[in-house]
Amino acid sequence: MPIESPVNVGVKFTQAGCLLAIVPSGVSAHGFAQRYDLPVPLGLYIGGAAAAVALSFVVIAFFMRGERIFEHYPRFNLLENPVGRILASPFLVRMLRAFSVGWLALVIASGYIGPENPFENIAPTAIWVIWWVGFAYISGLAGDLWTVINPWSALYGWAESLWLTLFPSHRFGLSLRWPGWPGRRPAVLLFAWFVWAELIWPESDTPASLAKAALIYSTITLTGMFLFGRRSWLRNGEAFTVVFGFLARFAPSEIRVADAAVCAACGSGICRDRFAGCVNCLECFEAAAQDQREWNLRPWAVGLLTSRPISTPSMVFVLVMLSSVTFDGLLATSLWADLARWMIYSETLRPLIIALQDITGNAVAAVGTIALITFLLLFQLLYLLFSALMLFSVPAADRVGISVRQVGGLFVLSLVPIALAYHLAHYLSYLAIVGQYIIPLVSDPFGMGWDLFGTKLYMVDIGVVNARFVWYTSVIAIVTGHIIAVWLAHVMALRTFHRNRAALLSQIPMLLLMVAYTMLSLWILAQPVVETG
Amino acid sequence: MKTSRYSLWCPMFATLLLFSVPAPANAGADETSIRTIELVISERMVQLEENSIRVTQGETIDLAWKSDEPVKLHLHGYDIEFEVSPEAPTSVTFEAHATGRFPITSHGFGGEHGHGDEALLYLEVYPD
Repeated sequence: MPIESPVNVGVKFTQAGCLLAIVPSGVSAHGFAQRYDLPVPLGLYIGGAAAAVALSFVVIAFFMRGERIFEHYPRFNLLENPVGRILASPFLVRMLRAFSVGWLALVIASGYIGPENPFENIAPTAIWVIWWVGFAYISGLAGDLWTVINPWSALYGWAESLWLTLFPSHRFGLSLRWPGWPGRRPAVLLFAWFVWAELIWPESDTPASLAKAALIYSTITLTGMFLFGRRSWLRNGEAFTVVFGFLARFAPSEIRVADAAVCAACGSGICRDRFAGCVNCLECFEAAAQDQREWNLRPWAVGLLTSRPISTPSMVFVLVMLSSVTFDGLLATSLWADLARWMIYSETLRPLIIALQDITGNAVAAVGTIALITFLLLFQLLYLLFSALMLFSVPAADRVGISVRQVGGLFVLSLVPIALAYHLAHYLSYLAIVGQYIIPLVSDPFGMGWDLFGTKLYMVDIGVVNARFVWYTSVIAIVTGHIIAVWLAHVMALRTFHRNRAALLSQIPMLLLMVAYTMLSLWILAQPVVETG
Repeated sequence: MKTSRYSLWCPMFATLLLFSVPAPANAGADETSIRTIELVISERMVQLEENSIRVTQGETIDLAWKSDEPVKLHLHGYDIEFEVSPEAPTSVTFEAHATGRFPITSHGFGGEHGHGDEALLYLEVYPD
């Protein structure tokens, strides 16, 4: 039976009835940033799923034997070591920041000056592959490097120092007090917009559009800093500080301040954890004396444990992170291809699609936008439901004074390892293959025929990672992420409900949710990738 | 005693050396065998049961194309572009050295300026 070409989500135009014919927006970025992953074989998928479930029970058995809330975890202070001190030296930090600002400038410049072909222009690869995927890996596996080298923070800091040198008695910026009520909502909105741009926006591999978006975001960020103060905006409005900050909670490194008095004066008001102390608070770290600063190695994932619920906007943010990672995977499945085709031809959705297609770019993007928003919302509601189930699984006496919202805010971070593992698995071969494009691109970022580093003629090697390596790494990563998540949730349960039995009962719904989330992640990896353009 | 120890070591060492030399993949074959896959495009679709073809890493593949309309095809990843037309059926030969699932997309059916990047077919190269 002859086969049909699957619907192409990123395609520049599609025909869906005469009403929805779209004009291509520009040069086709044919084949840029594709994934060539082979689906994980069925046996490995089932084996991984079985291992995840079986090992979950091992974790539960561990907790049934005693109450372990892990108040303290082992730390090793790198600043007590000469190598650590060199790595943290102001000189090196300044160099890294200069590099970071240079990278931002390069991306914007090449977007405007360079050619529109993403294979010849450094901007798309520099943003989506090196920066976005790269920093997700670095933040999750190494530590919160972004906080240190954030280019907007660096630029603003330099401008502020310059101003204060010239006009010492005049404050730089308005330093309006951040109103309590929005909390991190601006960051949530900006991140949601970014997720849309990453997954749906048809112009996401067009250099000129990327440069414009980068410029808009820079303006928003710098203005926010000017109005509310650099640290206040970074904490509440700068989407990437927030997302990389959450990912870095998994990482085996942290910055910490030993002096409690510094935290009392900290503008964030929430940096001190009852058990861990002041961890990953940039404001305290910058304010503290040299001998009160720590840069610690620590065990994996302990940063995801908290002593109090995270705020509602933060919880929403984390759920957007988790659901966007999963949605990213779903977009490459034939399930989505079929759903998108159905949606485009659907009579009921037609008015909505027509209304959206001008803002989003084309009909496929309109359909993708509807699906993305729906999926993000569903995820939030599902998590809320499971938070309620967790709370009500516990006998009434043990849950006095605890609300569903608090439960939600306490347990959401324990889901991060599953999403992080999936994200790493999903992008492993992509980073290895498409990441190689940066090698010829750095020699000729503007596509002008330069060869700055002699690497212009470098040919990307698609065989650099073998499928079997990717399969096994992916499944092992996801199963490991799952086990860590189950462990984290049990510790949080003991911290919340105190009594062992109550804590274990509360984890029955959570275990179901985690197993389902892990199964979904494995299922996506076992699906053949359907061409997304 | 020394003599007997060496007389034990030498054959062991020699055997280890023999095993450490990689054995040729097809010990009996004199030439690499080429696997030919016939692909027919009719009415802008490939006439196959599934939309993917499966080969093993290391095989030399010969894709023998026939089409009822002129069309430009592009095998992604391996980055091979070629044209097929009714009067000029094409054979594309290459070594499948890299594993992965690689789309084969069409441009310009019937000689029109190409639009869209729908994949006609997927080439799946599995590890051996």
